[in-house]
Amino acid sequence: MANFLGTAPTIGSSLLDSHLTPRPSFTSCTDPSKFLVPNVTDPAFYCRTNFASASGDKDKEQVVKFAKGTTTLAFKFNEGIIVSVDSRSTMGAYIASQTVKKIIEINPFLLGTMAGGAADCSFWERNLGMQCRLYELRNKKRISVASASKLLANTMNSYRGYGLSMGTMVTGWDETGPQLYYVDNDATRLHDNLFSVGSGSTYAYGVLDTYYRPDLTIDEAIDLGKRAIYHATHRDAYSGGINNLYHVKETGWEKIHAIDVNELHYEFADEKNEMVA
Amino acid sequence: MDSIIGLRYNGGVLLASDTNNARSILVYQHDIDKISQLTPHSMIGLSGPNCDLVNFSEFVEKNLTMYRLKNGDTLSTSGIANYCRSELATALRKGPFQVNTLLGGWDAETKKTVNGVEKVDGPGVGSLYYIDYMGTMSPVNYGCQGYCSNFVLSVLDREWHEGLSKEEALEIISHCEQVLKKRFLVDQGVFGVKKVDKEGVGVVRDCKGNLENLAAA
Repeated sequence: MANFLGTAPTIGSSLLDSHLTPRPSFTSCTDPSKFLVPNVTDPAFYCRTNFASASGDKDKEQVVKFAKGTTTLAFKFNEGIIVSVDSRSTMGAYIASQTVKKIIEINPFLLGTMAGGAADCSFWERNLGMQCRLYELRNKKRISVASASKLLANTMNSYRGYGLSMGTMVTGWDETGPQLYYVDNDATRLHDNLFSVGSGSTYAYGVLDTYYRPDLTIDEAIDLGKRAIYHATHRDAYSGGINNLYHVKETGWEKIHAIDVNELHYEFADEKNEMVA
Repeated sequence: MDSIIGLRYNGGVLLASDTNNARSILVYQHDIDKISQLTPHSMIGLSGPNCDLVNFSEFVEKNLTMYRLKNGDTLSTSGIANYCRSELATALRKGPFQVNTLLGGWDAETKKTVNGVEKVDGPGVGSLYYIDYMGTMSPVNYGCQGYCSNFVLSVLDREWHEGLSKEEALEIISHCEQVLKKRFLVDQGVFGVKKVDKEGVGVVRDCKGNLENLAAA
């Protein structure tokens, strides 16, 4: 990582990797007018071969892919909103992490979810958090979920075609009650009762659409959110790890649980065995 | 995969659109309204990426509101159409609005001022404009945008005639929907239908498929 920051690496031996050989002419990037580039002999070639989709499909052979595979879901019901996600981050076939926090706490009343590029999601939702705080300070009241999601959609609109990757749900409780919006990198902004985003979303939708009712009790809703994520992680290789689940209420959000989906697998398997017995 | 269908009838215009919002193979929402009201007597049906639909229709609507506040009168339908066309053509070379639209509006045929009160004679005229994202504009009697044109243009060619009643126009819309349901691979779900006539813009069938009172609308 030090190479990316432009500091002279101490392991700069060409034996390791010719791309990582430090360029003598570019050892630091302290000049703010200069664009920060990877500290390798041919930065353009390095970016082209290692980083994704800013330049169309010219970089298909990329080695370091952005973390992408995900299942996230959120649904509105009579007692608020359930937000439930997995925690796996993948780079191609490699599992980069099993402990990613894909629910981003924007403020005590707003949650964002993370699907697509991890860096894009966490950066722009943090940026959204700042904009929401500024709104609070200027107007002496909390921002509505509609406005917050529109701020994010407007940001996405201004960066259209720049290769951002983000599929997020913005949820929260405002003066109008519980609200749920979907915002993605095409600046699409949708308002509905139920969304699922990510590579495992089709599996999650299957379970969710089948068992969803607006009059679920809180316990039933938590169970549904948990099961939909479990079934998605079971079928989607790019989803897995831990199920993080939040409940959004009038008093703000509350974290309900973080359970390893492996435990859920045996829990649900036992349940089925008992049904048969 | 958006479908927008529109036709003129005696004294008004009908616009119908699908209500799906999809990305890749997944339908995210089934009750999106793709027909927005611009002024009390005009509406625009849009097809294209969601953000462009929202941005373009809000932009036009707010500018028309500003025009009314400045000048104390709303633009005629042909004025609105020419304004939309010029905005699309200007945007074309600098990050276009990727929207193909049908614009429907109603204008009073003749205005008489009796004792300082404006009176409108007759049912007035509905007019429909086809405007695409490159700035092509054409006044039409009926038209459609999107894949649906492959299926329903023939139906409209066959069934549209001058002096249609509103009920006949609704019947044609329903024939178009039936053809799409039967022959188009993609299920487009419910079609939302709106009208504009002397009474202004009104919902005939909302995005969830609920029929409004036809007599009232």
